[in-house]
Amino acid sequence: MLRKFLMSTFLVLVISPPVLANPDVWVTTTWHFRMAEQSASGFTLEWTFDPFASSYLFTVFDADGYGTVTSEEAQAKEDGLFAPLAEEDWYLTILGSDESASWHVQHVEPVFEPENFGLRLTVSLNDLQAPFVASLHDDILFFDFSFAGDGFLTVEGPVDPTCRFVAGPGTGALEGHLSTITLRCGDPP
Amino acid sequence: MTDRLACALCILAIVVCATTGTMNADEATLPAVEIVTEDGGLWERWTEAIVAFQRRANTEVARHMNAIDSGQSLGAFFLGLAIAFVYGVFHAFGPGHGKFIIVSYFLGRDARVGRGIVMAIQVAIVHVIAAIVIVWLADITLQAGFGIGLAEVPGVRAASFLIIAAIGLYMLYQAFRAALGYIDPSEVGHGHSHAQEGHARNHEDAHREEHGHGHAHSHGHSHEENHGHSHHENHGHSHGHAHAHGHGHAAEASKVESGLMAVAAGIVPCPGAVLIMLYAVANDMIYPGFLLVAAMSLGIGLTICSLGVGAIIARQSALRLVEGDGAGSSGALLVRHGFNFGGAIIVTLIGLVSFVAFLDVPLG
Repeated sequence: MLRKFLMSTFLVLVISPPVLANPDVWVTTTWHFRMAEQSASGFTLEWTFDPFASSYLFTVFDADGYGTVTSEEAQAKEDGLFAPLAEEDWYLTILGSDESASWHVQHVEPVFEPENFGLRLTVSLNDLQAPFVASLHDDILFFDFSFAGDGFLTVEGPVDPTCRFVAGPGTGALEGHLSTITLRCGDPP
Repeated sequence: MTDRLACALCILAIVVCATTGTMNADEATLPAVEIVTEDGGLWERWTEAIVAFQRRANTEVARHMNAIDSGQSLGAFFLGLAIAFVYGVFHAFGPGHGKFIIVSYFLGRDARVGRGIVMAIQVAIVHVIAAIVIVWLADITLQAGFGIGLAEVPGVRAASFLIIAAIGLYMLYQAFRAALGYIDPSEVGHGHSHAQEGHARNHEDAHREEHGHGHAHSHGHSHEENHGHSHHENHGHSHGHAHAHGHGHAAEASKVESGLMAVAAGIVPCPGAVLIMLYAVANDMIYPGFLLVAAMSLGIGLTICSLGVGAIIARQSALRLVEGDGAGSSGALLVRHGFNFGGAIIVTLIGLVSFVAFLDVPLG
């Protein structure tokens, strides 16, 4: 019996493709879109790190160890610390209908909350027309990105009544991305 | 129940419809967000469940550490330990932690189940030690950039890959020796517990002989060659195919080999465990932090153990299947050689390819 159990476990684990995530840093996100009817001019993305990563990041930023992070301390550290994230485009993927969406991260700001460390990213989408998909995903599974519960998505600006935001696992080019947001407008096909 | 569900869906539909109208440009509002409920399939649901569990476990471990910090009961601590252990079990399901290396290693080696368990424990212990050591180097490691991972200490990965490659090459060397008839193919790599395993098998063989269907294959090496260590007296038969020649140096080499493999697989610490340790240090909870990391590593070890033991059983079962009653047949020998070479080649490739990737050298 034990032999069968071990064999089964072994087979399940061995034949599993290497997509089973084992992230080490957990990030919850909120998305705030700036809309103009059927297009988006950009969004602000807020990351909140898990307690362990937050604790570490506080320690790194708080160079003098006084328990608060001064703007000088923040500035001194953030460029070097987040350079690898910037190289990875902050793990953002944005695809338009022709898969060539033009976008860039305008501004990144560390957020020092009492319990958790955060990052605020301001992203410009250059009036990207729906349909488009935005996703946060780390291919090497070091980071896990998830939506921050109810109300993780807000909008400002006029939204065409036929538009719908859809949140969930990605498909096609974004297969494997667990947290994608799609904007679809117009009558459903 | 169905009515309630229908009612809830109606309310949801009304809310969704009501919120999808054109919105005021000045307000941030909650749009109509349709959460996709169609799952991508069993695999995606399984992945999401594992991720969700780990996310929750991560939060819970932090919560229990804070409870310990604020002087709450020992119960919080023990619950934290249990959660950390289960967290480790699930965490190790993912890529890394040396699972593939261990599986390849044991597929290429005859070994007892106990060896798999011992190696998993060794990996867990090395994981804990590595996590603690790495915390002292964390400033160097992490300030280089958060996204690069916490275990990028120069040299640690390189050493790990080189050890793996070296073991793989040694396995390959032994597989060749076995193929050329210098050693028994079943002896490849592990005289160590061979003494025990051999005895067990010889007892079994003797038992078969008693019942009149023992096999009589000889591997062309006498026990005189084997340092005069006679096990005949124990078994009263002469086929004694190799398993008990148990020369001391082979035993040692095998323990060293599997020990080295455990070090190589476990020396690159789990970044998650490192972060827990850092948190503990930052909050002056070094001992609880150490125990939590130990519990997590034990969980990781359990998953690795199940894989290692599974690989051992898979090899044993496959060999038993092909051997059947005709042990020593050319088919069985071929399968055994196949396992020996297969395991050796995979372990070697993992080590070499990883090392080349570490150096960022193009492969072609």
